Amino acid sequence: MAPYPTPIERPDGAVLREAAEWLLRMQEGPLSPEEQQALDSWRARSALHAAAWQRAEKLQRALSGIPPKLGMHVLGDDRRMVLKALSVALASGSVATLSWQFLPWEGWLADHRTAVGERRTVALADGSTLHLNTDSAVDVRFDTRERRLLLQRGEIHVETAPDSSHRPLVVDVEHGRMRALGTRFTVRRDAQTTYLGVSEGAVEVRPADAPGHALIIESGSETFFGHDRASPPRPLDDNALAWLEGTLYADHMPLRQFIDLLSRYRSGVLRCDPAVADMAISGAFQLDDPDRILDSLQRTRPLRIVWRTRYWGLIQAAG
Amino acid sequence: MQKTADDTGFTSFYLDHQPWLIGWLARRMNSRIDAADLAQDTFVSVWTTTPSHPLERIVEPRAYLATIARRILINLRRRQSLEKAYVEALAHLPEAFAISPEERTVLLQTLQQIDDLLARLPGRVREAFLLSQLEGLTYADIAARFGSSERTIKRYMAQAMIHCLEHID
Repeated sequence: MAPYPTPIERPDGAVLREAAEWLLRMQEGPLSPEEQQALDSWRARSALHAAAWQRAEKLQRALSGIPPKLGMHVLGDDRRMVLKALSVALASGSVATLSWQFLPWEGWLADHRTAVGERRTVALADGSTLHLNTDSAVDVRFDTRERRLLLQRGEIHVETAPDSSHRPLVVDVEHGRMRALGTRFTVRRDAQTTYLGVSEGAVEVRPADAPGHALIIESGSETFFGHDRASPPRPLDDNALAWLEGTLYADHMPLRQFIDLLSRYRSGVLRCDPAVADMAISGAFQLDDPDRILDSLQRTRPLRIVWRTRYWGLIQAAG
Repeated sequence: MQKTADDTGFTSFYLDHQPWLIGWLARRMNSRIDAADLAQDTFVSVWTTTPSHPLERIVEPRAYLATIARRILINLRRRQSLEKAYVEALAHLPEAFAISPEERTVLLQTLQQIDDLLARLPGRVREAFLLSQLEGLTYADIAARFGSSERTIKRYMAQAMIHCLEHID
């Protein structure tokens, strides 16, 4: 490829608009060879076009160097809302109450939290053990009446210890409340529902809007529940506890589901081309290094990953 | 030919208003030293951005100075809040994700560059752009989140992209 001519003039509105259109087109997926050719000749049309494209590449480079989560926290509405609220509060002198009303990033201010890809085990004051999976946040509120865990985000596994003052142990989520009946269990917040899997003892579930409809989930069963109901219990998924050992098991799992699971353990965005979404994946994978799992997928299956930026990949059929 | 201070009456303009501007800024900041620095930046900005029209034609020179100083002050606050958010974000990264001091600096500069570019866009346009560019959300995802149409999001994206290309240097 010929080197760019040195830009001497500033590209004008029309040329920049076209450059923006190309950038937006490139985000939808890789360019076809014909499109690539069209872009190359567009760029070569004049010094102004070349200059516009240099700007486009500069912008792309800058954006691709930003880790998504960190970028959203630092650049997005969270910080700007805090900024705005802070300036109002500074004017009215009510700074002390502010920090609790405008928690910028709920997870980061939770009592216990993990980042993407991190797992942690916490010993609680009553002797119970709390395991946090990737990207999770929990508040712990023990008082004289109850031991309360508030799952704000992500997934936990609880091993309860008998309490000397016989306080019940409850887990609250947006969708309802769970009460442990001497037990080991896993709770995960998904977008629409909450997952509960019980591996020992039993747990009582009360959906938030239907507290009269309590359901007891026995050892070896699981349920999904929303605000108003819980699904009938079914046998516990083999995979439900695998994360405690840092493992992801797949037994003829559709690629799309596999990638969804894996995405919880790595920063950035992975998309799956519909053409390969149903490819069956089997194996036991170590979650400590998700990118190695992706490498091995590329080596062992007819797949390739096209990275649009360092944090944004598309999985396609190879060749 | 290079302009000199006397061509535009800049020296007397500076001497007339500089103490007043420092006082104005000091009431809005905690430190008089910072206020003096910012007053200096304000005059530099006046000097570099008013090459063509003579300073004596400005009808309300102090209101004019205050407008520029306020903009510089807001930019400073924005930068400070970004740095604070960034340091907090880094402090919460697990050790496995530790990045070198060089990478920290480069990343901070990149964040500031993007923050500057997006500062003058409407809030929803900016948020839509970030959700698409950083989080990789589709236009449909963003439309659902905002309760608006995909076409609107597409328009936001074009607006933000053109704005960035116009202002990136």
